[in-house]
Amino acid sequence: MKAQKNEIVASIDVGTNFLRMLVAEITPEAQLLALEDLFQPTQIGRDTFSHGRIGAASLNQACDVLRGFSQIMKDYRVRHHRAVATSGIRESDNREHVLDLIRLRTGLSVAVLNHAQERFYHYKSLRNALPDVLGMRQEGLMIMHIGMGGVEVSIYTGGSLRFTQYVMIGSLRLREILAELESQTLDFPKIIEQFIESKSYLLESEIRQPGVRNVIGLGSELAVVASLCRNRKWTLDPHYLSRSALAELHRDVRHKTSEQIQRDFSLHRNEAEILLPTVITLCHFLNLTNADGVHVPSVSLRQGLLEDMVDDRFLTQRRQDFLQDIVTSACYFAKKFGSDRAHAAHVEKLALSIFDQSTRLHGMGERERLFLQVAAILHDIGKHININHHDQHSYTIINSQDIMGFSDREVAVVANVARYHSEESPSSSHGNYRQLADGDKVLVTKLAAMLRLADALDITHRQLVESVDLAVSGRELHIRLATQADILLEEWNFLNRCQLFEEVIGYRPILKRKR
Amino acid sequence: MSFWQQEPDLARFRPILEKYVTEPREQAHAVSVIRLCRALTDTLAGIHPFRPEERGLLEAAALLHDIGHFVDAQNHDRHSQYLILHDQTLAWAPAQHRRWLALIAGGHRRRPDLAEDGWPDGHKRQLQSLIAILRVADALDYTREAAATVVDFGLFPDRCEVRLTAALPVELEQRLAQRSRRFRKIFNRPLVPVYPAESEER
Repeated sequence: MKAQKNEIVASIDVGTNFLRMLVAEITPEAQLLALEDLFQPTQIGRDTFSHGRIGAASLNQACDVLRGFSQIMKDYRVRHHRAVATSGIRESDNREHVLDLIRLRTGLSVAVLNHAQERFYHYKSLRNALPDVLGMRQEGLMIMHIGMGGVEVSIYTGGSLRFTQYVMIGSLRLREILAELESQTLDFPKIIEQFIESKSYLLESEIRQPGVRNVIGLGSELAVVASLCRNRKWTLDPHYLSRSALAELHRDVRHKTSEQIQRDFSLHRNEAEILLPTVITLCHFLNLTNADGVHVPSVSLRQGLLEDMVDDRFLTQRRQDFLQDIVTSACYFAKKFGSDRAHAAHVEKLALSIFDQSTRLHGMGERERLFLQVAAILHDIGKHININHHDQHSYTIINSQDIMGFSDREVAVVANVARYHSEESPSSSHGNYRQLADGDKVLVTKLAAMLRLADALDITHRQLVESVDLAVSGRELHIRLATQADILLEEWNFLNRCQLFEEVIGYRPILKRKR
Repeated sequence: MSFWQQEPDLARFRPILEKYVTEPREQAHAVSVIRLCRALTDTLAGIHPFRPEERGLLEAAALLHDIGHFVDAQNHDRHSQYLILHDQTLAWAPAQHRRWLALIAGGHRRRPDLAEDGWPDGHKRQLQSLIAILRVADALDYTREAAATVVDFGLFPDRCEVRLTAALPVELEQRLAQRSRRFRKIFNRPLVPVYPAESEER
C-alpha cells in the first residue's frame, strides 16, 4: 500500500532524562524526512530511581513540555503519532496516575514500552543507519543498549541471536543509586566500576566467548560521547569510537565532577551527570570483547517508532525481516529451555496451516498469527521444569521473558495460548486467564484451540502427519491429513482435543485421511 | 519441625543446581553462601539454637537460592522459589520440605509471603530467622569475591561482628547494612564489619 502524498507524522519519547519529539514527513517512496527534532530535560528518571515514584514537580514540568509538543503537532497538522515511555515511568510506583494525568492535561495517550520493545524499535532505526548490521550479525556481534535505567546486551553469532540480557545498570540509575557514596570515597569511578561488575558478572562468560568481532553501542548518551571524542580529535569518524579514543575520554572525565564536565564540555547538566557512568559502562563491556572499537550509529527510539510506521504503511521488506527476528527470538528461548526442536517446528507448521486455511472462520489477522506462531514454538518449554503440568510451567516461563517486539500484554497472550495447548481449557478460576482483558480472553481461547489441534497431531513427536488440508462442509470442518504412517494415537488424541475448537470457532473438526 | 528427622544430604541437591547454574563462578558462590550460613548458625547457637535439620534446610536453600537466574534475572528470587517447588529433579523431596526450601531461597531478596499458606507461628519465626541469615550470607558474597575475606563471626551482647581480612567495598558495605536489617531485628544485634586493625584494638 503506497501513500499518494507526503504525510506528517510524529513520535514522542517520554524518557528518563529527556522528553523528545521527532516530527517527520513520510514520502510516497517510503522515506522519512525529519522536520523537527526537539528535546527538553526532565527529572522523571531521577525521581523514579531515587524515590521509586514521580513527584508532582517533575510531573507538572513534563506535562508542560508535552502540552507544548502537542501544540507543535497541531501546528504541523500531524496525522499520526506515537507517544511512548521507558524505564522512568515503567518503574515508577505511581505510573498509572502519571499516565492518567498526562492524558488529561495534554491529550496524549502514552504507551509504556518494556525493554524488548525498546530494543525492537532501536533495531529498526539501526537497520537504516547501519545497513551492514546483518553482515555483522553473521560475523559475530554484540549490541549494547546503554539506557538511563538499564543496559541490554544481545549477542549474535552466525546470524542468530545467541544471548540477550537486560541488567539494571543504566547511566542515570547508577548515578542515582550510588549518589550517597560519592562523598564517602576519593575514587568514585572505582565504585561505579565495582557496581557494574557486581551486576553484570553473569553476562561476562557469554560476552567473553570468541566470536564477538563487532560491537554496536546504542543509547542517546552515546551520541554525546561520540561528539566529544570528535571535538577533541580523538576520532575522525563520528559514528565509530576506537578503544584508544574511549580510553582518552575515560582518562579525561574520570576524576572530574559533574560540574567540571558540564563546564569543560559545554553540556547540559542532565547530560554531564551521566557522562561518567556511560563512559565507564561502555569501556567495561568493550573490554570483555576482542573488538577494536564501538560503532555508535545515529539511532533513536523516536526514529525507530517512525520507521515502524513506515514499515506498517508500506509493508516493507524490513517489516518482514523484523517479524522473522521475533520468531528467531522465540527460537532462542525454545533452545535455552531444551525444547524438542523438531516437534516445536512441526506444531508451528501445522498450527499456522490451520490458521491460514480458516481465516474466514476465525477472523483474526497477521499479528494474531504471530502470537500463534510464537506460542507454538514455545508451548513445551515448561517440560524443562517438569513434564507434569508442563503447560503451567510453559506459561510461567513465557510470561517472564522479554520477547523482542512484544508488549507485556502480548507476552501474556502468548503465554496463555501456550498454557492451554494441552488438556486444561481456559477458565475464570485460573488467575492467569482472569487477568486478561475480555477481548484477549477470546483471542487466547481461539488461538489455543488451534494450537491444541496442531499439538494433538504430533503427540508422538514423530512428525507423522505431513500436512493438513481444511474444507468447510456445513457446520463441519474437514481436516484431511497427508500421512503414510499409522497415526492411531494422533487420531485418538485429536478427538479428545477438538472440543474447544468447536466451541470457539463454531465448526466441528472432523479428521479425514487423504487418499 | 518433626517432619525432617535428619540433616538433608546436600549432594542430593547438586543435580538441580547444575541443571540451572552452569557457571563455575556461580556454583562457587552457592558454596560460599553455604559456608557463611554455617558459620553464622554456629555463631548464633548461644542465643538462637538451630536443629540439625533446620541447618540442613538453610544450607540447601543457600545452594539453590540463585537458580532462578536461569529463567529471568530480574525476579530470580521468585523463580528460584518456583523451580524448587516444581522442578522434577527434586521429585524425591517431600512436598513439605520443598515448601520450606522454596520460601527460604525465595526470601533472599524480598520479604516472603508467609501469611498466604497459613504457616504456624513457630514455623514462621524459624523461617524468618533462616531467611535473615541467608540474606546476610548472600550479601557478604555479593561480588563473588568478598566471601573469601570473611574470617569468622563473633557474638557479643550488643553486636555480631563479621571479621574480615580486608575492607569491603563501600557499595558492598552499604548493601550489607540494608540486607542485615531483619537480622538485627530477629537476633537483637546489629551486624558490624570489623577490619584487621579494628580487631587488634578490640
